[in-house]
Amino acid sequence: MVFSSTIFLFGFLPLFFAIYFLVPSLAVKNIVLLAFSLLFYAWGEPVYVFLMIGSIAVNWLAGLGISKTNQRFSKKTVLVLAIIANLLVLGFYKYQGFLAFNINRALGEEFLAELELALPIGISFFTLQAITYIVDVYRGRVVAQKNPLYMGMYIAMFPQLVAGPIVRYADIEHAIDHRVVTMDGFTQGLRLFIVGLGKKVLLANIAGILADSLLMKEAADIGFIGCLSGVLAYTFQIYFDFSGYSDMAIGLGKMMGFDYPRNFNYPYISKSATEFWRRWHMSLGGFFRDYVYIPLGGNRVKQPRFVFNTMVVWALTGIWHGAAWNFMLWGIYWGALILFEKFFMMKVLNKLPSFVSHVWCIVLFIFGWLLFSVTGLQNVLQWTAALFGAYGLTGTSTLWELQSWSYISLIPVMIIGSLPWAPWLRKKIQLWAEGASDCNVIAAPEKGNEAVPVCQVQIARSVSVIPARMRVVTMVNIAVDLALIAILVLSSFSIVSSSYNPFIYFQF
Amino acid sequence: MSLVSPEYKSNDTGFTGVAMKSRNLIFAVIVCIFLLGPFGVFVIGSGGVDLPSWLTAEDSAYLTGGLVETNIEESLNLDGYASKTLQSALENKIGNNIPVKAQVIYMNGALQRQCIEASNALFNWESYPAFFGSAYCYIPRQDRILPIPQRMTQETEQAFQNYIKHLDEFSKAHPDIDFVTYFAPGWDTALYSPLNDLTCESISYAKVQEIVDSALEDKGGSTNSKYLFAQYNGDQDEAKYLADYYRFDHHWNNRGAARAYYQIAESLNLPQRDAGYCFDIAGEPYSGAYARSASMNVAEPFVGVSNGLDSTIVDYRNHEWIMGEHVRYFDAGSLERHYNAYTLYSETLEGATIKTGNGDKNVLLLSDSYGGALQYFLPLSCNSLVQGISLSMGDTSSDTLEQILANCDADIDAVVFVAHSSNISGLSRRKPDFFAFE
Repeated sequence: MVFSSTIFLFGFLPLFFAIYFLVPSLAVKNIVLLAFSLLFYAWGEPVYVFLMIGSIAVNWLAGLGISKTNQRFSKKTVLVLAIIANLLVLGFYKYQGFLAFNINRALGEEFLAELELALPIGISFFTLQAITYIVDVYRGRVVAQKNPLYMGMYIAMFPQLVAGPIVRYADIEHAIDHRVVTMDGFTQGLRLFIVGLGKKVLLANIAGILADSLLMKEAADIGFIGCLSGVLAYTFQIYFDFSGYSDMAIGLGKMMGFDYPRNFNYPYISKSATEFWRRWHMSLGGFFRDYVYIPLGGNRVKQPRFVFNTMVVWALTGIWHGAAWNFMLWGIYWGALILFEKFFMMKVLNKLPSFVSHVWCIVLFIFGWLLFSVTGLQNVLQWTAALFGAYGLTGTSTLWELQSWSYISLIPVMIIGSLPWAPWLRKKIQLWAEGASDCNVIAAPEKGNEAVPVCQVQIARSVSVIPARMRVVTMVNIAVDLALIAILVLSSFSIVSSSYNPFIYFQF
Repeated sequence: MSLVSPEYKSNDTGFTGVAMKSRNLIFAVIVCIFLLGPFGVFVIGSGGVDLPSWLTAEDSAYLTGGLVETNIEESLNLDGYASKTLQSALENKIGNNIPVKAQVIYMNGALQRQCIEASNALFNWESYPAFFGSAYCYIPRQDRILPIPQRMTQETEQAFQNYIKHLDEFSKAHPDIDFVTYFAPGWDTALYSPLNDLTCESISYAKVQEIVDSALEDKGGSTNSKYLFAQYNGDQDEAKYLADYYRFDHHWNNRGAARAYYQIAESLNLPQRDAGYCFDIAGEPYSGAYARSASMNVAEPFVGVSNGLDSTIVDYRNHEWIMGEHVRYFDAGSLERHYNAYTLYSETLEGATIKTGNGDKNVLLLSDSYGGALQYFLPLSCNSLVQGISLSMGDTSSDTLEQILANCDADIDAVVFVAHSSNISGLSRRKPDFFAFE
């Protein structure tokens, strides 16, 4: 089941919230959430749902095992065994075919059977989530959850189950037993859910039509314009799809009283590779930083070891995205860039005008998406050659046939949608309403989630607002609500029409 | 000031936290009502209230390939769950209860088309896709919808050559039977299509004609096998062609079929009779296959025909069927006529034998859906007409032509093949043994 489907919007969601809000106690709400989360997963994975239940059981027992023993060696043993168990399951289902294929090719014989297993949806996400739990229990950051149903609720929670964000247990530990759902919180979450739905259905899916139609073609058939359009379309598709899904997940969590962390912070405004990865898929970056990079020593080691640590993290980041060499190459590409910037480029970038740094970063992430989306080294080389004009402007096609021209009217929308105009405008209006003279606003902070809360779609009205200006604030908020309803309606039109609605997380 | 938990107190008594809470409540209620739409339609419909078809998903059936029958009780078991048939049944149930679904589909297409038109303002192409990713394009100058033509490939060219070669051999082995193949310009080889200029090496009617002419030159051809193409000459005949073929469907109308009848009758030396008069059936607009596939809410007059076959009795495999009255068409509901007029009006006599005694020859008509319209013209000039759908993509019969001829009640004097080009080339791929003979 996906969020952008009729069954979810018109069936699952109303039914879930009806029951969730009907039951009075938080304990029963948690059980309802678990039950619906398992139903959500089982809808598309009627067999693999038992694999997830098994994962819940193993990690719950591991957490208890770690917490119950006082001996460090025993704690560590349970931790290591549990991590291995998690990684074995992930490795088996996700990488068995890939490993077998490459080993067999290297040996020149069929040494290992290529099982061609169907990948359980979301296994990459809930496995990492489970690992954060048992590591945090080991580190003493969280208390082991004694209730297996609550443990199941955390791992299986349907908002972030199939496409993130990777929510750490610490983020929701308090909320399990103490959350309060208010009308304000519910509608904040609902508004963000609609924003995410619009991003996914109205922007990502449309960009995906062009991206998919061009990416499956030979570079020689579509030439420079076709390849550039294809990779640009993919750049927008993957951002709006991923960030839209995260918005929907965070919004749904908020509707239930959970505060999930922000996952995307307008990455396309970045001025360096380093900044890009502080804004893109922040929960994944945080996982690899806190659970791989820092345990390896981070940057508090000698330089060769630091380089090694960085490249290991980025190779793992790449291969996490998919069992194929192009993902590994993509990860190594980013690792190398980050090192390059750290050792050489950053001083230069800091002195350059912002515009130049932006262009530098844009070229980096567009080429990165080329590596990510085009499979096979030969194809990557051909596509790169096409971008330098090796196959002419349109290859063997006509410009009309490429169809990329038909999307031109959407380019301004997509560019604007990638920029932090909404939080900037919101802050500007807020400060104006409060009569602040200096409206110097940094809309999207450079690091982390701290400054701008992700669920604040509406303009808040504080005690400082000048009464005469409050009416404007109210009118703006009403306009925002009307726009959101329009987005919901248009998104529903698209979903009902069975318009193109790819699920790009099947390899996760 | 915390942005996460804003304080709603204010100095202005007109705007209090109550206003914010009311607005939140109204917003939530509106969204909830919207999301409960299908549930509401289901409940009202189950309660015995007869909702108008436009308010439910019923009108959308033709746009979505039909409303899928759902049987949730049947799949409410472990097998149904494991095989996902239960999940599909529930999803289809919701899909079948989406309110105003047809209008939603049309509106979605229209909105996307507006974005595409805005993009096209920079390029001024003569045609543009009906929606993002659509294989169908709208041509404003002609107010017409056409599919994007396929590219001509070596395999396609070979398939045409194989058809001619095998038919040629068969016809030489059966010198007492005349064979005519009529290449109907439709679907992938529509005439006067600006899409041929916009695409590279596309299959076009002219290109097919070239291939056939070239193959006939090589083979020398047999005297009892002829290949006919529609006769529309140059730009001056564009209006004539557009009047003969539906603009929002891949079929010819009865005017186009009548024109083909005259050509076929002439080539077979059949007596040419007055095909009758074709007329727009008033008040019954037809929204054909192209319109549905393009999600465009457009329609055009459906063209009926009245000729000397009106009162002919047809031997329709143990049924009596009165020709010319087009019973299925007039008995159908208006919604079905709106979307399915061609099938109802013209494709009712599949497998029938029409005995008229209007000529000397017994004719076998093998076709795709184009043949349906010809059944109301060819019997004007022959003793009897037998019709089969061997050239239709959906025909699964493995009978060879020789077997079909043997199964006919009367001795066949002429075989007429009528189809659009890709179904003719496709015959050699779908049924490689069709022209096998002993």
